[in-house]
Amino acid sequence: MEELMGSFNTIGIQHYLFLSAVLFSIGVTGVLYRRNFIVIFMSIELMLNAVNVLLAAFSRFNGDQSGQVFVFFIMVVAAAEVAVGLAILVMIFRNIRSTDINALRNLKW
Amino acid sequence: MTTLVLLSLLGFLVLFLGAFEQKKAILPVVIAGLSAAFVTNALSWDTSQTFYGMMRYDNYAVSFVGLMIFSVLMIMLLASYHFRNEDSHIADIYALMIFTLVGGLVMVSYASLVMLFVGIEILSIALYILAGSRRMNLSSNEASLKYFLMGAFASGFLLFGITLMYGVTGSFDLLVISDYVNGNEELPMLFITGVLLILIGFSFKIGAVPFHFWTPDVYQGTPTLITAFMATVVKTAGIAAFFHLFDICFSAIDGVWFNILWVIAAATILLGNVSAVMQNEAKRMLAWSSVAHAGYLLIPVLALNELSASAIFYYTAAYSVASISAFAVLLGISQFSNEMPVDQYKGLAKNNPIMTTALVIAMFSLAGIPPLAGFFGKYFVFVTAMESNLNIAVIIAIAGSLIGIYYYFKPVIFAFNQEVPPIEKIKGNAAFNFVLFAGIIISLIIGIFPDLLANLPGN
Amino acid sequence: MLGFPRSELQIMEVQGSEYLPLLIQLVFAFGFVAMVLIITHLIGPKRKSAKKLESFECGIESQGNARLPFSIKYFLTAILFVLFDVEVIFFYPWATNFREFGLQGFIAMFIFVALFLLGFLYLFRKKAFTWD
Repeated sequence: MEELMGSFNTIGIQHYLFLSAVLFSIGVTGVLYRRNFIVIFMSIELMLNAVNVLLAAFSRFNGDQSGQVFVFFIMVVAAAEVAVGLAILVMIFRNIRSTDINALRNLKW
Repeated sequence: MTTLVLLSLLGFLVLFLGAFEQKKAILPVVIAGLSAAFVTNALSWDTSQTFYGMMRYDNYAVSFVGLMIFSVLMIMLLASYHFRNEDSHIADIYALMIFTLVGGLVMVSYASLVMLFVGIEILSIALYILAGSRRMNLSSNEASLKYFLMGAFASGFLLFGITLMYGVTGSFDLLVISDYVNGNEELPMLFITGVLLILIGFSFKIGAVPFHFWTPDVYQGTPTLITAFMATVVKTAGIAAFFHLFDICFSAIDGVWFNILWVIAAATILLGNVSAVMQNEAKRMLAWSSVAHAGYLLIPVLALNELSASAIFYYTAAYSVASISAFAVLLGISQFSNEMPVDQYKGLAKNNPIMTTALVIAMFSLAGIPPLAGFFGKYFVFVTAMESNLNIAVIIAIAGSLIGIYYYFKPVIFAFNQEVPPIEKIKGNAAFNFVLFAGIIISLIIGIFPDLLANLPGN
Repeated sequence: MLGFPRSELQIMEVQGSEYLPLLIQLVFAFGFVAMVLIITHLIGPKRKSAKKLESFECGIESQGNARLPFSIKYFLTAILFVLFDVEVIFFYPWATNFREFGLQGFIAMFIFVALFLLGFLYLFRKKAFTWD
């Protein structure tokens, strides 16, 4: 039991760092590999929320509140971004009746 | 700060003029408001105020904001010509452009990384909508979506970099970060990762190789008017924000980013120019040329000495004026059409001498032919680079410019083509001709008297 | 490691004993669920019929699939809700320091809310709330 509790003791900033790095990487991979707009949006949200987790942890770690306030800014911006993004998606869906990104190949070199 | 408040209120006012069907009043209000903002901005010269440690409105900010307001004013005049027969969403488009300008203002005057992020997002979110402003046009939709995805993706990288930097230094304040960088011999790995992530984020935003792949598609699909906006105002804000951050915070640790940025700049110049040569679409060619210009603009960032700020300012000014003229001519020729092959310029010299003059001046200025503004822009950039012994970068840039001459001359040669019967006569209205005249005259004046702008951002 | 000196890491650490009740709670929660699932499976009678396997065994018979496309008009309402809802988070830092900010903070928040109302008015004029 003592040993188990000991392992809790070491939940330090680097654990948050790894967690958020992993979440961020999952988000990046999702953006690069998925072909559905909505899944890509979700992956972008995951990237932003990985950043939020890390900011909150760093804020606590540094004993400074400004990191948490920045999280609010990121959340608001993410909401605005999603509103615009979904509106774009609806606009495209009305024209092509699909959410597959490969359907959009009008512009290429 | 007065300028910021004024512009935000102007945006709201225009939005409501549109919502309350006062269509006649919109254009005068926009022009009066932007002129007033230009004046209040000019009045803050040499006052250098800091607001709660979040924004610092110094001469650097004043010069770039002045340039951006001027560009927006020109584009608004073009918009009044472009949308002369169609007025359904014009107020919203004007308002979004003004909000974009507000974002650009924040981006060149931030003193904290929080404001950098907020500025970039204000600018970007309004632009995503503008890129898709032709709702029924599939190309516009596609450009909007691509721009949105790339913009949000880049914001993620930028944010992760900012966060790592905050974790190490404990502050978002540029001066605190700069003190930390100068006070520590050995920087933690996290900080260096943060610098590189921010570098990637910015490279995405300004469209530098290898993060440029969205630029040609987005520029081509976006309505031409908005493309002009992206190529001038957005590029100015992006590069000014980029330089501001690196100048204040990271000048002491150039070992970390110098080689990477060097390769990015060189690749951007070469790839941008070579790809532009291969284009048959005029708009796509201008898009690739704007990629190449982003490369030239990265050279003063690379040099990072006391001449850099003024070189960037002069270059962006020359480039913005020439680009607006080039896009104005393109807009005049193609109107709402999406197809813009380069040979569309055929016979232009016969039927519209003003547009032809503007085209020639703009293309020569972009190519860097003396005595036009573009030549001195390149000259100042090269002088700045030589000051820091970046000789190879200068050679690459000169090689890029030589390639550039080829594709910038293509539209001009087509314009003077005598064989084809002239296309139907294009008539611009007063606002349109004013923009063309302004482009010609300013390119000539700041080219012949480069001292007018050469020392503007000061030190 | 990662550039943090070891001594700084200690600041973040929490006393392990604070987590002990949480751990016990977790063990009980998972244990109870697992136990109940296993026991019902073992002692319950097994009768399978088409009626039994319906989503709602008693009541009105369900019709069609729940995953139907629904009107796009809901989208606008939903998105506007998200926007106006999320902006409220700026009230939290203000509310916790309400007294310290004094009149200046009140005026700042007043302007913030006023901008919202302007946005609302714009939406109203643009007929974003009209259903047809």
